[in-house]
Amino acid sequence: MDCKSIQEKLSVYIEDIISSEEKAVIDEHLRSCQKCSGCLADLMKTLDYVKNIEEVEPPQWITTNVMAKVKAEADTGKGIFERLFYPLHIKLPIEAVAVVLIALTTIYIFNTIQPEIRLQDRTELAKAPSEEVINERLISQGDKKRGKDLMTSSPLLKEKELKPSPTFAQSDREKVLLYEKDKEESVPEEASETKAAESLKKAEAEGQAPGAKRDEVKKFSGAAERYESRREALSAFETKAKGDMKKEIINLTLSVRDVETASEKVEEVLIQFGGKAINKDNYENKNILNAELYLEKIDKLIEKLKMLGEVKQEEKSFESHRGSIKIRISIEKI
Amino acid sequence: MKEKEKTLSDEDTEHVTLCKRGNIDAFEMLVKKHQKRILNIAYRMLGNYEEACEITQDAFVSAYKGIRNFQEKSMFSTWLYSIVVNLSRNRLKQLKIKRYREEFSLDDPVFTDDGQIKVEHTSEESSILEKLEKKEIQQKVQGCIDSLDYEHKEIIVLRDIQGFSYDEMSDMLKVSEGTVKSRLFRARDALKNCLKKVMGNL
Repeated sequence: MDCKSIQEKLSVYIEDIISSEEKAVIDEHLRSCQKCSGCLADLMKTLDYVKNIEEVEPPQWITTNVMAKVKAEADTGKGIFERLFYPLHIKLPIEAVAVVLIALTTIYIFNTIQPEIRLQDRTELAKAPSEEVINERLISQGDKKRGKDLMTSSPLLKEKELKPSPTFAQSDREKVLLYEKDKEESVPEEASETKAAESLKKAEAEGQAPGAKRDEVKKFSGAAERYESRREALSAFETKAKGDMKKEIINLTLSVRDVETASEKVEEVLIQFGGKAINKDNYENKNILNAELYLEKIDKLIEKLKMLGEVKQEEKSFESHRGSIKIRISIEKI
Repeated sequence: MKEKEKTLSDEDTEHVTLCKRGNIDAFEMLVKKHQKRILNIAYRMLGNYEEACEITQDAFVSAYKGIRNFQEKSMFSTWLYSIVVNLSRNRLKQLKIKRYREEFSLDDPVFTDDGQIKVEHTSEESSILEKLEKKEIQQKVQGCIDSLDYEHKEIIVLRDIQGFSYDEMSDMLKVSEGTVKSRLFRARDALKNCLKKVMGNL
């Protein structure tokens, strides 16, 4: 074994991890070779230096810094964890509850709004074909302002029945005047078209008697009388109509479990159907709602009421009526 | 030494299992226990305290990130030290590139190496160490370690300073035991020559 290979082995030789044969060979060589034993000494010294090198102490902030970074890392790891598992375990019930709540709210809102939309459509339809309704409303509003008895007065009837009267009166007067003129000029046939003229004619025919002057007066007075009687008849009819309206109150009895809630709902329904002058009287276990409603809405109102509870209705026919009618709904506890 | 490692690793295994379950406190225990050795490996490899501290932190953070993938085929400490060795090696390569760029001594690398060592140390620590012979020797030894190839450097640090077994070293460095032995011989030889040169006489 030459020096070079011996020196190569020295590194393992000093660590004692060498076979005993090799060790013996090296020992043998070292005794005889100064150079190689010098190498060994140098190696030992080198290792001495290296092994005796002092350890350095870690600064305290290393742990702090490392743990801060690790915690940040752990938090981001948690983020992934949350993303993966929260939707499955923890957040799901919350989401489900939220979805159910939204659904319920939507249904509730839809149910509340739905009839109003229908109502709107209906009123629009009603407005379109006839302006009567609007007129009626305007008149009734006007009536309200004037403080008239709304309960008994029908705006439609008023419009239809009251309006002709001044016209009638006016035309009558004209005709009377005309007749007077006619009488003077002796042309009675000209006014034969109108009722007034006819009646006057009849009066003329009836009272075709001795004096023309008297006749004239009589005829004139007859016409006046007729006119008066017409007005009387008209006002009588009006009062009669008013009286009829007073009598025609639809009495409905609604039997429900919860009076308060039911009356609120009935009130809502009345408003939806365009009920006017709604007033409410509260009694023990009984609420009475008074309102005015268009006749054509009554059936629908009763249908709605049937959904709320048991409805008892007085047997009456309202077909002869037009326009709005007074309605009294008694809400009673079952 | 080997037996001591064994008992340490047993304690580690417990902490490692806790860490894998997300227990940060268990990891803190591991940090406190291993930081000194890790810092010293890094320090001897890099020859710079600040750099070593940086590498130590990085090593622990990457150990935490990779702890779930750590299979207990080897000891935790071995695994942890291999991380720091790799990080130090990469840092050395970076620094070497940096040095090449900064210096203009491509034609005389041997001289540059020695010169650099001296410059670094006089600038950093000489004021404290110069008066103390022991410290001076230590400085020279570290200077010689620094002058070594990174392959030789790590093997000297792991074997002669940290006292790891050939088995552990081959595990850490992912080389055969034969390679470890031959590399160690060359490393020691280079170190011896360097010390002879620096100190005049051993």
